[in-house]
Amino acid sequence: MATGSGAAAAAADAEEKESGSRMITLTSNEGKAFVVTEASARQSATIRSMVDDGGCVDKGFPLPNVDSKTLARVIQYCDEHGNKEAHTVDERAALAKFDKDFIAELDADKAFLYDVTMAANYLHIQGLFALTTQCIADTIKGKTPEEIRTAFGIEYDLTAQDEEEIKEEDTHA
Amino acid sequence: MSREEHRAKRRRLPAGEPDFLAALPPEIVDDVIARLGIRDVVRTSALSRAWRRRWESVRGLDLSFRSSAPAAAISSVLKRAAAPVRRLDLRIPGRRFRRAVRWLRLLPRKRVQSLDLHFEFVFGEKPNLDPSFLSCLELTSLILEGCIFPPPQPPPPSTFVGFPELTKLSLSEIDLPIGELPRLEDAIVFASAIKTEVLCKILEGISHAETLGFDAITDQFNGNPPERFSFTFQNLRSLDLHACLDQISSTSWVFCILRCAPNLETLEIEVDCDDDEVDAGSVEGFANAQASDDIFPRLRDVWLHSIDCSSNEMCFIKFVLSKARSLELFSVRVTSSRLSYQEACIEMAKYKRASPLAKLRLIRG
Repeated sequence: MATGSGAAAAAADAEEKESGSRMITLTSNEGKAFVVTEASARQSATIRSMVDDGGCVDKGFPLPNVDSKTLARVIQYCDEHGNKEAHTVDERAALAKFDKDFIAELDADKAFLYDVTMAANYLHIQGLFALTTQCIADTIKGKTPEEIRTAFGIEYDLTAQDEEEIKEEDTHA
Repeated sequence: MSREEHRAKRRRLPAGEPDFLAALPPEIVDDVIARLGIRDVVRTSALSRAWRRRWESVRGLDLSFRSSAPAAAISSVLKRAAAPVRRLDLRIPGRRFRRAVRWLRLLPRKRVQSLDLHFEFVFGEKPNLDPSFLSCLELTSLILEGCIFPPPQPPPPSTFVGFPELTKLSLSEIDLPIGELPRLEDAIVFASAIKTEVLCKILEGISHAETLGFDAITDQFNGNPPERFSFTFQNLRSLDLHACLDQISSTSWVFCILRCAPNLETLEIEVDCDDDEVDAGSVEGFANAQASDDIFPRLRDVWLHSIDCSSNEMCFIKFVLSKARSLELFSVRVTSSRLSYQEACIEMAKYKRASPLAKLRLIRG
């Protein structure tokens, strides 16, 4: 290889690194590989710090705590937020719309919502974590204890004494 | 009710329905709880045995109470909340002034980040603010309204030096020894009834803020501001004033601040003159005194709300247009007009503009 083209390749490499257009492989706990842009992967603070520490970008990142179905959904979020711009009002509105639809779909399948929440927590994807925990909080908002128990499958195990105490507290609230 | 009856009354869930929340890691459940309003938070203690005291240890709760919240509920929450609190917001009606002292004494251990105390107006009675809040050194935001903070007699060799983390401060009618506020960004001072020298001291303490809201309506003031402050608002980028340009005292505060804010970029003035008394030429005198000075070289955006096109207001507009050489947009909302609206528009359009880019936008209504 001529020195000239070698230098050009290095420059191209540097440029690629600069623009964050490298591709990164994330592997689910079932061994399924997902190839994503670096910008998308950087939505995760966990992966971001590994990449910045000069980690194994080429070998990819195994994610032993995340299954394929969950990872695919998490990547859907990261792609949207990592690969798209959010400078103009319209761009931000489009992202907000995406978030709204994204969480509405998850909300319909609670078990999956919790899986995505845990993955967002594990991968430190701040925006996604806030979106999912807010969705869970919204399920609690304004509901009676009975309704909350039903929504979350909480077993009623209060004793008569507990009930007395709660009644006492209720007269305060 | 017998134990058996009680047991029978329990609502068993269909088999196999998992307790979703219990399966989540505790830090996630904490985050969820911290997103709830305080009524919802407290209600979780009636869910099950595991939930009885679950919320008490959650960090970052938002304890915002409406003024209708029962006092006992507020006391109970303040006693039970055991982890650092993100926000405490209390609207305190007159009948609770005494009780509020006890609540505030619970504060120092709460490590509150944002404190908003609003004592509702009671004629002839302003409560003394308990000094306990001075030990909330983790405060990043402090909003105080409707109370007085008396200087302790005799002044103790205070260990209070300031709030190291505070970024936002709002004081209404409060003479506060604010101390050092190294991280302050936003300040609001509404203080029409505070002595001028005290007010100057407060302004000096917040003079490094980037945004300032200030009430310059001054009929109760003990005197006019000094000719010139002994300090400058060096970082001030955005200034939001409540003023009456037809009053000499109010106008003098406006100019006093403008003169000392060399880096100001945006200025917003809500004009509010409730009496018809007009000090003729109140603006003109200040404007002339400023004629040769370079005032607000970086001012880009000005909003003047609710003017009625009095000669003082017109003079102020003329002055700003003639001085602000970086001006991009001057917006004026005319609510009523002493001249006809058209006359006012024509008049303003004639004013010389120091900035070739400056646009004048007039809005009616």
